[in-house]
Amino acid sequence: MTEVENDRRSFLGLGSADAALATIGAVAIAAAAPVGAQAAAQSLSSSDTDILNFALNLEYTETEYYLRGVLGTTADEVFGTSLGGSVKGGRKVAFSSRVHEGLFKNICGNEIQHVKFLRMINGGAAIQRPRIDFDAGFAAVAQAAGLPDFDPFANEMNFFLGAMLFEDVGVTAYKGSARNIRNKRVLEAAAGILATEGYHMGAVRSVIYKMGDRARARSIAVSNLRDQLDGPQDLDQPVVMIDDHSNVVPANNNGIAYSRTPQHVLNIVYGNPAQGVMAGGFFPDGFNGRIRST
Amino acid sequence: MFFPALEPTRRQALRAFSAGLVGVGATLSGCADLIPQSVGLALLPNPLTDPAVYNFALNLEYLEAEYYQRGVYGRGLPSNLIGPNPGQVIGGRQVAFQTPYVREFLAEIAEDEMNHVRFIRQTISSSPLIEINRPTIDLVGSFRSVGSAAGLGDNFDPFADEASFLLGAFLFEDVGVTAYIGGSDLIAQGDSIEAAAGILAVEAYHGGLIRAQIADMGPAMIAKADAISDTRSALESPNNRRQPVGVSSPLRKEQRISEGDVFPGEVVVAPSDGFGRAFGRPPQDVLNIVFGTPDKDARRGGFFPDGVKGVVRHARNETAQMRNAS
Repeated sequence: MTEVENDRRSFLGLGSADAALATIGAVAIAAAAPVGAQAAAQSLSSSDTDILNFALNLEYTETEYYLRGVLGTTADEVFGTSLGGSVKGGRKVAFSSRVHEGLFKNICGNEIQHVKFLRMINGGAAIQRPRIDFDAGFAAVAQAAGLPDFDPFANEMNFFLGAMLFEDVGVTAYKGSARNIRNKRVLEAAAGILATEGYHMGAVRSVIYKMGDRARARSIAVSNLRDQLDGPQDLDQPVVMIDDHSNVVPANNNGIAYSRTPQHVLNIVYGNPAQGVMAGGFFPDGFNGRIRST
Repeated sequence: MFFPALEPTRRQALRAFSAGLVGVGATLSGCADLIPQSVGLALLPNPLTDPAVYNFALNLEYLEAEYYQRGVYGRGLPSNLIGPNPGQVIGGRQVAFQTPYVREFLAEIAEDEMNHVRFIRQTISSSPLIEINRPTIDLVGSFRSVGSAAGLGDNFDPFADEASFLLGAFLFEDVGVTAYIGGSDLIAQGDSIEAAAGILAVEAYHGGLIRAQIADMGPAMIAKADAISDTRSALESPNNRRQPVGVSSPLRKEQRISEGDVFPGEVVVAPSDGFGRAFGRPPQDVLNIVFGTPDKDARRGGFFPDGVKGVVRHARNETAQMRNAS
């Protein structure tokens, strides 16, 4: 922060989220548990807190997915404390190249950082990790997508596809929520996370395409499943187009990525297209936080 | 950068002022391309309306679209997408791709960037004081300068081969991402925010795709991309840097492919800070990079030898700087 910025902040007398967050950020660096969190939480509007908690459910899940698959460990081990509900399933995957392993290490590191960040800015209002069941979630995906042997931890190709299953959804979830975020600093932070998830998927989807016909066909099955679950609108695209060319970037005719409402995101992760559903799929007890019903 | 309490009032007041100019805008918009650049600043105390921010982004989209169209197809944007009085484009030619999937990936990006140009033009063309013409774009001297600064030789030509074209793409996409994030807090309306978030996401997919291809091509290629990253970092003015919320790492806007933060052996497909957030750049930083100079008074240079179009166009834009300092 430059001197000018400091002066200006003082001048404006910000007892605001910005000032509070800046201070907390300086203090709470890298802390797994929220530090000074109450002040931060109080300074956010309740709707922003709800949106960030909604996202935190997804980030917990992605973190567990990558930590288990890439490093064979768990978030509780990495954070040195229990983050909440139990997590079932997942195991270390064998990668064929250092580049593939390295890109997933990068992605995994980012997801851990997202969890830290969202827990920090939501402070005392931050949700605990929901109970997560990868076994049941992926079994349901395998059946619904017509991929009977689909176990993301069984091999490298499936692990890429499992990553795609979650993170494309993460991008659409952040985008769908962007307009509802009230605090501009939170919006910029969310935009930064959104972009990171997009970077991840650009890399992951390009590898899936390069893996060839079998991986491409499976990406179609995953994409179709998401489309069946999330309502009548077509909000999803696989890594290959109808004319067999690549489609690494899911976007509409304006070159714009899709949005999903929180309800449609929940339809996908609960594996249920119905309204009013509170749990299912990867989340046997549902999401934590106030946004948890489809 | 933010006016949490004051912003709504301030924006409302300025919007009301802008509304008073609607008559003027309506008169002028038919010939928006003819408005001298100085008029925008003279008439508007805060030109950073949503269309003005998009107008800034349009310059970058023109640059990217011309780069990819020329490299993939050997032709520029169609005449209906460049305005009635477009600046010329210097250089660019079809690349001899060796790898089918690389060409497909770049063709995808080419289409997305052209769609961004079309979308932004449609979105803002009827707004007052918008400059819709394509700016003059230099794809020759600009890249030579960047290449020279990055130690890639004095005659770096991104159209020479597939690998060079990927490096040129690497140069652009990360900048596009940081520009949209930096613009996110300048945009006020819900629809504008959502559209910008969608373009941002697409630029990020591009960036991840490009970084993954570069990483796959081996350590020598990664070293070149890392050198370009360092060059970008050296161009932006430290004066323009501001502390992201909850920052936990040294101020920076770049992360090399080879330099992960968390685990040994990371391949950085997503350049981001200690909280896993991609970086935001204010428009001035973006201009320093595309002008190819750290000079905070720069108004042109590099990829834009005649400067950029719209009211946000100086590396030291007074209004933007005021916001940045706040």
